[in-house]
Amino acid sequence: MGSGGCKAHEAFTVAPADTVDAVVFAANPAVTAHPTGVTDPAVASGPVDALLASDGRYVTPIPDELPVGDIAGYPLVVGGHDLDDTAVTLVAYDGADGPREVLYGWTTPDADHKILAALALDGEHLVPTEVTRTVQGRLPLDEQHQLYEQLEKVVKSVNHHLKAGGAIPAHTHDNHTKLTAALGQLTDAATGDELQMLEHYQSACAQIAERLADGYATPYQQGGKIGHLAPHQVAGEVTITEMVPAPAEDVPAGLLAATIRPATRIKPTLDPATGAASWDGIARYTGQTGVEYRIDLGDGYEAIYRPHVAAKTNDRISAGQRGFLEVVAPPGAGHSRQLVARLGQLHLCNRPMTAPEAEWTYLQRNVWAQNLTQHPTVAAAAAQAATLDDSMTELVLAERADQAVGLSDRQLTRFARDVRLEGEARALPAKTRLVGDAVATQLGFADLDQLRAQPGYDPTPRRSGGWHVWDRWDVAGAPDDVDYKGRALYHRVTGNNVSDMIRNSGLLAATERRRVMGIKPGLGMSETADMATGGSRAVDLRIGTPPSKGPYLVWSDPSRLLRRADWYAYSSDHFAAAVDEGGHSTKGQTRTPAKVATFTSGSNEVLFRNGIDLLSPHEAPDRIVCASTAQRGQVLAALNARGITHLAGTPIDQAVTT
Amino acid sequence: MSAPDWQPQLARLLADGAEIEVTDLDGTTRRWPLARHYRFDDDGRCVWLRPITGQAHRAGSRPPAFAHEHARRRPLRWTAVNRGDRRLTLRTPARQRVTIRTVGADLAARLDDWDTFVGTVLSAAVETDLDLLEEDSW
Repeated sequence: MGSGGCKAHEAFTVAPADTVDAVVFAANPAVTAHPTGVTDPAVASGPVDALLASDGRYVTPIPDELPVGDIAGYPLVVGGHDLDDTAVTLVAYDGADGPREVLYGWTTPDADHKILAALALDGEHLVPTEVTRTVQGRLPLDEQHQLYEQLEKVVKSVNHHLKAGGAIPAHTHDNHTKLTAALGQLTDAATGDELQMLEHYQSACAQIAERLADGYATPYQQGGKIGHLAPHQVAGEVTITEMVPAPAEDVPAGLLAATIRPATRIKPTLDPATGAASWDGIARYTGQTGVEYRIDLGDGYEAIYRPHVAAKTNDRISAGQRGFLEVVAPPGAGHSRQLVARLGQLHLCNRPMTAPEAEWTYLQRNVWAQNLTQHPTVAAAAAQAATLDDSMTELVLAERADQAVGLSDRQLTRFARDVRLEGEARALPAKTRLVGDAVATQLGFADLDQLRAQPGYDPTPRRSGGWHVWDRWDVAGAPDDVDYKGRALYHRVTGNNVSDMIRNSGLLAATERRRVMGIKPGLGMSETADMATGGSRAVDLRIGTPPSKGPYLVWSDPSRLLRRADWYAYSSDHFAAAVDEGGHSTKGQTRTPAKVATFTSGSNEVLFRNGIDLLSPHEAPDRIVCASTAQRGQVLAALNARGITHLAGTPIDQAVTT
Repeated sequence: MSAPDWQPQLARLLADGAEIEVTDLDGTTRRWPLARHYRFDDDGRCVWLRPITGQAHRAGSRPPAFAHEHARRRPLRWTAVNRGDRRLTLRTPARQRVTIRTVGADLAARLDDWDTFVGTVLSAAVETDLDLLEEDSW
């Protein structure tokens, strides 16, 4: 789901740093192409005019300062068609040398080749080089004797039989005895790291011995289970061959030096008390699936990119991680505009979304959400609109062809970009009118102007935590049209995660978002396992009568969330539509509120893109049902710490219950 | 909560190690090993299962690691069942064919890694939450 169709690759060249602002804030012809014909903001009325009058240029202006330590970040709605959800997030991590500012987002698949075309990656520009890396690994003695494997096998068996409540079999006792003896023998001759390793494993054997002793009665869930024992590892240096950029003088002008390496993730540190995020600019999780490109953007900026299609490797990148792009600024504050502008070096659109683009995006989101392309007139209008950009671009080129004479290659690239931008800007009102009129007549209105006058029509995206959402006019304008028969949307959370969510970000965020923010899913998960796989880009709720036992988040009026244009649902008649990693099949999917209202089993799913802002007036749950009085206290404390007194208009001491 | 009469067979299959294969009307087929637990719902017309996905490292690496929030519980609503030797075949309301059978050799390693992960890495509290098959997020 993006904001437009496939676009031909265009190179966006970023001007030198001292003219960056000129690139970002160049007068945008689209602003003057006012779709409603109103040119005087003073007489603006209605949501469309208010949108245009509020800023005049961009829907979400680039901020001068970013909130330091806020892991949700500042969401920016961007123009063009290169970023998924037309969005990036600007984050400022706290750091010893000042904030570390990062821009991140997911590119659309079409943007992949644009970025790769900007890089000096072929054989002429990369050279194999031996590099020394520090890695963690097990000792040869451990691996030779398979000590950890033996220990793991015994622990697994002991825990299995303790949980089942049955006797621990004789072979497990024997294996434990054999392992204990082996560790003892090896200890006699061991020193240094090896002695440490053996003592580490002997300590585990002692725990096992307790459980094997006659009369052991500690319940499994109350300390009986032997806890996680990681293999003993030591840091060592290894020499590997990496493809690194050739000397700078060998990189052709216009291309960026880049390295291919195993994929990583930013590894921030979250303050457990406040949820504030810090990052030293260096720490990254390793051991990720797939590869990434590390790209030198110059002036201390770099980009890290995980392609949609893995290059030169068969490693599979999970769907949730594909297209993930980071742009990292040098230390210090105030790099927001540069971070956005630097997208141009990767041939991506490098400016926020304009108001006319916002309405076009709003139309498209609603066409998708309301399944309007099933109607032939709407589908035909959408197909015709897709050709208008090219037509207008040709027109502009014809008007300006004489200006291209005598330009250098770099100037020609910029000329072509400007022609394309102008073409798209000129086409935008016509596209909006074309598709808008088709949609309007399909819905029984005379034209787009009549549709715009409807109470629910509002093309301004609204902020939801770390992202923006557009609303559907059918639900926003008539929230009571569908009878949900007293059923609510609800979401069950495990452990203490409700208070953690509130403290860290105030967001019920999709797993991929949480990983990007550096939030671990909960107790019992190793960092490596947590961060190695891609997560989902949506959170799922259910509609029905919530079970009485918490912890649950509850939205008694489903229309408060179903007004968003980015949800989709499954009745569960279709098994495993959503099992595939990071992606969702459309089989059995519905986006119709009336259909969701008919879901009768508790096994349905209603999925929301990116997540839900638990603390906003629009999206906060009206009830948080806790599993215990103690948990309720933790949730109330977390809300108080953030200054939250009400949830969806209800005082928190009434909204948070057991 | 009532359970259908094939519940004991399901329990045995899962205890011994099982996989699930789903075939859609268009012929698309997918398979996953299944975690050992299950729960019936909706008066026995729905069974919650957990297809195992989200393995973080290559099979066989120690310790095995999974992003367990990836291996989410899934509801299997059924309208008809056919019982075979070491196999259950069910139809969903969407007319998919779903077969639960003894885990194949190619998926057995992932199931073994999952069992090891649950049994030696996760805390007892998280393991209990997994067994409940009630979570929407972690």
